[in-house]
Amino acid sequence: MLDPGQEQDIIRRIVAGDKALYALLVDAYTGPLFNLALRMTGKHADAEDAVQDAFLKAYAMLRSFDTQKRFFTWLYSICLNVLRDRQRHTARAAERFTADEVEATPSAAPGPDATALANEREAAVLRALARLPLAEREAVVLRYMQDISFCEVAAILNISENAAKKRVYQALRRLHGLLREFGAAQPDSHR
Amino acid sequence: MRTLDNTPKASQHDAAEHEFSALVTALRSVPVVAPPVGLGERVMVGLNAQHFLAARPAPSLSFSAREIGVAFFLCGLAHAGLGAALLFTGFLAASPLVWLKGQPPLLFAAAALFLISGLALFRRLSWSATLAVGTVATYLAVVLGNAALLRASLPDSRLVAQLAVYQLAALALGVLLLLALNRFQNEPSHKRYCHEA
Repeated sequence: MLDPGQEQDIIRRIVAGDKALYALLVDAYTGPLFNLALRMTGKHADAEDAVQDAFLKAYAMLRSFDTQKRFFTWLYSICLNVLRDRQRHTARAAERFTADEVEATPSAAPGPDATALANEREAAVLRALARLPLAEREAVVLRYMQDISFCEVAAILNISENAAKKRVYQALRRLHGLLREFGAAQPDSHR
Repeated sequence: MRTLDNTPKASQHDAAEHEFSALVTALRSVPVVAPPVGLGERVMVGLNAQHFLAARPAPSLSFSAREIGVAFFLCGLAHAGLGAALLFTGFLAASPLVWLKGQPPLLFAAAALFLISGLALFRRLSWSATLAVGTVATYLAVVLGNAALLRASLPDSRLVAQLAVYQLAALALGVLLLLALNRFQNEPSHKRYCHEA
């Protein structure tokens, strides 16, 4: 992972014409961006396309990037915009993104029983996640699956920090309700 | 990506995170998926291809203001020409008096607007100006054409309706043409670039 100083330097040099350096940013952020897109779309192919689109758009707009800000929040914003556009264009809005469509993600769990249980729980969580409204899904994916601070979630979503917290809280409540609906493999939670 | 603040705050949200701690844990424990092999390379290939195409002179799918102007001019000419033919036959069939009531000048005014917009576009106006001039000219032509028909008080109302429908259809076609040109011009697919590369 690049530190902010390195990133700023790389971006300045890219803007000055050293296009090949963009590969460093692509290498650094392909993984996080792909996971973000995968959790938002539930489809590997869609996630790949979205990541490509996001990187190409980011490159095209790199001159307008304020180097005093964090690159990854800017890049994530672009990626989320791409995902929203794609969902709008392909008429696969959040409501139509059904739980059954979520592709299983291979996990590296140990023994067979533990694996089965973990997979069942993970599948339930992903199914519930797919049922969340888009805005809430974005917030919860950023906060817990990308492990991004509230301050940065707020910056990415272009809302206040309090609004980000509220959105995540609403998402958690809704997710909890959905997992109750699903019944099986629910994280043994609500206290 | 693990970043920044996880300092405890006595907020409603922290209480919520505690309340749903098991759920939060479950969300955090969803495994990170490795991106497909070569995804980063594909991005760079797409980027290079985009630059390669951008550097080529006048790609065939890109339309200059002049070409758009010509398209507009031809559309306008066809519109005015067909309108004239319809009016000519319709009015003549309806009443030769129409010619004496001074209606043709209105039609010619509409046609002239199209000519003006077409000629203006030859002067390489910007895309937005092209759209604005073309739209205004089209609307004016429709309004003037309809006014001409109404003022002519044709005995055959079917002809009036027919011409109104024709004019609206021509307008819709013009708008669709513009949208199609705009889409072609502004939204090349990076996938196409990848394949071409």
